[in-house]
Amino acid sequence: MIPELPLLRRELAELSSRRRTYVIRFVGAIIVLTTVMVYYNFHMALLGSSISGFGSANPHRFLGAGAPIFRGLVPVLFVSVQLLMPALICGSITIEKERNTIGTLFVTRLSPMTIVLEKLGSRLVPMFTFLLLTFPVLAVVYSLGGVETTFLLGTLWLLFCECLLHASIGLLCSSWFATTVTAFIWSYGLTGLLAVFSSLFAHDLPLALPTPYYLWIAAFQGFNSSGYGNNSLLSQSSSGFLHPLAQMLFVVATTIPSLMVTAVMVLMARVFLVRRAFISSASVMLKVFKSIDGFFVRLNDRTTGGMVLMKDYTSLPLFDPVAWRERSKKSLGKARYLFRILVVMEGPTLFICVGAATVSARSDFSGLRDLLLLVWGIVAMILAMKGATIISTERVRETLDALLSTPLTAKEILTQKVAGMQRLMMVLAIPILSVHFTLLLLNVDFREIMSSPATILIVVWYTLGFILTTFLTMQILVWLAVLFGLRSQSQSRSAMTGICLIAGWVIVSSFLGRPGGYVFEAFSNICQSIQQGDSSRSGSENNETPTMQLNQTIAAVICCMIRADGGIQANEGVLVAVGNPYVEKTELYYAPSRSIHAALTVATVVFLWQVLLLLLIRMLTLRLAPRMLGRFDQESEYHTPEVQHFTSPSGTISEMIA
Amino acid sequence: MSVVTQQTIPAISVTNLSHAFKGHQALSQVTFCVMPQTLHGFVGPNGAGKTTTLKAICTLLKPSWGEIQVFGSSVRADPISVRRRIGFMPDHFSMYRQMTVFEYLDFFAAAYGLQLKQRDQVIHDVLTLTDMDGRRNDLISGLSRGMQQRVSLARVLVHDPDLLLLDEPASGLDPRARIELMEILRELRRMGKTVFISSHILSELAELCDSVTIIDRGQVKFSGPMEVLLESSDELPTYNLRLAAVYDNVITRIRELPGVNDVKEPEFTTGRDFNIQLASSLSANDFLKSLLTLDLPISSFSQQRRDLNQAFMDLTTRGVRT
Repeated sequence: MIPELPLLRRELAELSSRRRTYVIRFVGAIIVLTTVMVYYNFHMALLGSSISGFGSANPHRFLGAGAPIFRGLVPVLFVSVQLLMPALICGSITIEKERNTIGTLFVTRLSPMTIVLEKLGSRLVPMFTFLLLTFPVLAVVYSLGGVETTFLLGTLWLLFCECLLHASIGLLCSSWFATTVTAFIWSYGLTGLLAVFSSLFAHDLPLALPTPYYLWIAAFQGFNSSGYGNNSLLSQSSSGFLHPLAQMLFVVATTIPSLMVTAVMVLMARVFLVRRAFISSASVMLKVFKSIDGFFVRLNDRTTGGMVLMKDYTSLPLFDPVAWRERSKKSLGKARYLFRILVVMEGPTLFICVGAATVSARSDFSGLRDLLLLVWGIVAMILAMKGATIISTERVRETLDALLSTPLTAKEILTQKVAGMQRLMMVLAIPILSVHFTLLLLNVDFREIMSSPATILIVVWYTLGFILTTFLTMQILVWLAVLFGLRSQSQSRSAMTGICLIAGWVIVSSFLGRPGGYVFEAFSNICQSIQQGDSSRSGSENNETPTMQLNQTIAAVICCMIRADGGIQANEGVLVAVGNPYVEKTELYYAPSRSIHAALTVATVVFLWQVLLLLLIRMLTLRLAPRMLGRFDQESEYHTPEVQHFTSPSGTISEMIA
Repeated sequence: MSVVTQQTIPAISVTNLSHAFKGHQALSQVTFCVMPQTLHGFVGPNGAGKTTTLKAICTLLKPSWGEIQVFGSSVRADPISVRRRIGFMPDHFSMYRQMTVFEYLDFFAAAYGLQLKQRDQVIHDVLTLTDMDGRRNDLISGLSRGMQQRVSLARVLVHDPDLLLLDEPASGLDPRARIELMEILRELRRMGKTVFISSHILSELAELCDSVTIIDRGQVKFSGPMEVLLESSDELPTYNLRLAAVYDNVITRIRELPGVNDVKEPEFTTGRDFNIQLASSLSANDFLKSLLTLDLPISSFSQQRRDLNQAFMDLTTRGVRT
């Protein structure tokens, strides 16, 4: 007898009526299928070019070409699952809490376990449908030969396990947290941690890992010292003699830890579904800070008898009430809470920086650049989330109407909101500036520099450059996030929109604007063709190396302009130019860094471009703000309103009371 | 002279206001007027367009068509000056729960551009008016619903607006809090404020309001003085009669009088009360003269008025809007 599964049916009906479902599916399918096409064309071209002369026209030469394409395609599917699954499932239970409908579910005949399982099923179905979209492509690849049945079936099983694992992580977060935004952030945080943990131990303990993706690599692809190679577990253990069924059983057996972890997380989700069904949606961070406050107050009472050196300064708003509220009443605005965030972020950062300065003898310090990337990732996420939810928070808490009925213009409200984030930006900038400063100290010999005033100026330029660029990039991220989140009706949607769109910009622009990428090559070629035309007209032979450098510098400028981290990249060119440390050709700033003048010019151009970009984004946001906020303002009102005096025709309330 | 001018300019003047949301006509040719220093009720069933009208008046919604003026200023042309003269209280609590009452009011005082030195006094005054001065340093999250509503009302008053727009101010309040809120509104009217109040509690509106607008399915069904609404009826005039004692055959005897259409004894009465419907040609005075000839000891005699509930039911349409 087939169970009725009413919750699953309702969830699927709701998902199918959302436009977002189809947009995600469409965009996801386009990305996956484009990647497949790229791999397919690349391998086919490689195969075609490797055979020349007699037999090159024979179509049989492509037989067996399926394996490399398949190996290139499958990681894309795994990454798609890792990226999509948390977003799909993180709101499954929190949305019931946010709508206050979870109590209604509890009083039905559905047991908590049924609710959890039906919620899980409702999010697995769209994920499987998404993966099904790629099956025709897999079939074409399979038909090319080279992909054994065990390989295909094992991959499908591991993909299934990957879906289950990430779904269970998201489900657990959804049942633990009160809001979708928090569940969203923690789902991706845990997914990221799992990926980092797995990549660290993948070489030594491949079978003990709970992540099916790394099991797939270990079983079918194998690791070597420089990455992945053809030393897979199946090829080593069986040496070709293991029966396909035994190979399949081996693959299934390796997924037992993953399935156990999944089962434990689903069970925990069931427990927390009941225990944390009616928790307050107040800021988790604020709660944590308050409990830490309480602990330190008690400790202070015991040790010093409650002596307080600096008391909290209680202020009232002057004439920027919205900014005052952001600074004084929000957990990410109060000075003492921000100080704690600073300690949490700056402590490890400084530790790594000092470690790099004392231990490392190399001059490339790639570890510090990775650290910079990591810190920027965290900072960008915090800013994107905070910026995107700046208005939706007011909307959700129903305080926006009261605010909008005041004479404050939409421009003033937004400007003050962003101004209230300045403290947060300053705190978040400190770890970034610490890394930059360490890089400066490590890359530059100050004894040499002090002998030349010009070099001192350049070092000062670089220092000012990285400080300004850091704040500029932060401002761009914040205003973009504000723009993306302006219209959203819920915090979760605005946070997701802000984070996803900014992450999308960072990933796509980094991919397109990388050295050797499409944009870089295109502009490099355009410049080259223009110069060739000029030289043919003038009839003179140009020096090859400077011309190429110029082309690559122009291409680097364009790439820096489209990339989110363009300003930082351009500024790094100055450091490399003045410090002359080792730099790889794959770095974007390689070409400009060959000459200090080129590096300075590129840094200046990119900086000015980013200032312009910031102004444009800010202007667009402020122009759209009245409409997006749901009221109408006059065009002519974009100026500070004059101070209101009590001029009521019926007299003041004070007079009337008197 | 200025007082005369102030009196002649309506506090709110809505003319042919229409608005549609994605093809759904929320308001259609809504026209009404609210005079200054009055308490005007705005009633209608759910989905009638009350909140849409309120939002349009307080500049939070750009109407598709029509004109709204607040004290002579066009909402469309001069929203900033309109915002300075109105205090809008939405149908939900717009509270920053992590602030104290004083901080909350100071926040809005700053948003309205009040000078720093004035704010303390003004906040003290509005808190005194709403009887919340003793809780000025309490966190808003710790206040009861009724108290939060008082703070919300204090917030509306903080910039001393001439016009108060209150959307369902009494919803969710207990009877005591509701009665106290109504008392504050009466006090505000006495102080010369114009109060535009949207509410479902018709009995209280009938007692409170000077004028009323009834809206249904986006159209105004009635707008004018409360007296006119309660007295206007297509039915024949009906009077309530109470006698000092119980007598036999009273109904038959009254029915035999000239110009009497019908006499009924209301349910659950002791035999001394009667409802008498007269022909439209007969005045109450003439009827009273002929009634006195029956030599019945009259305790009271009054014209029966429609109550607001009845008027509301008569004017609005049954069923939900499609």
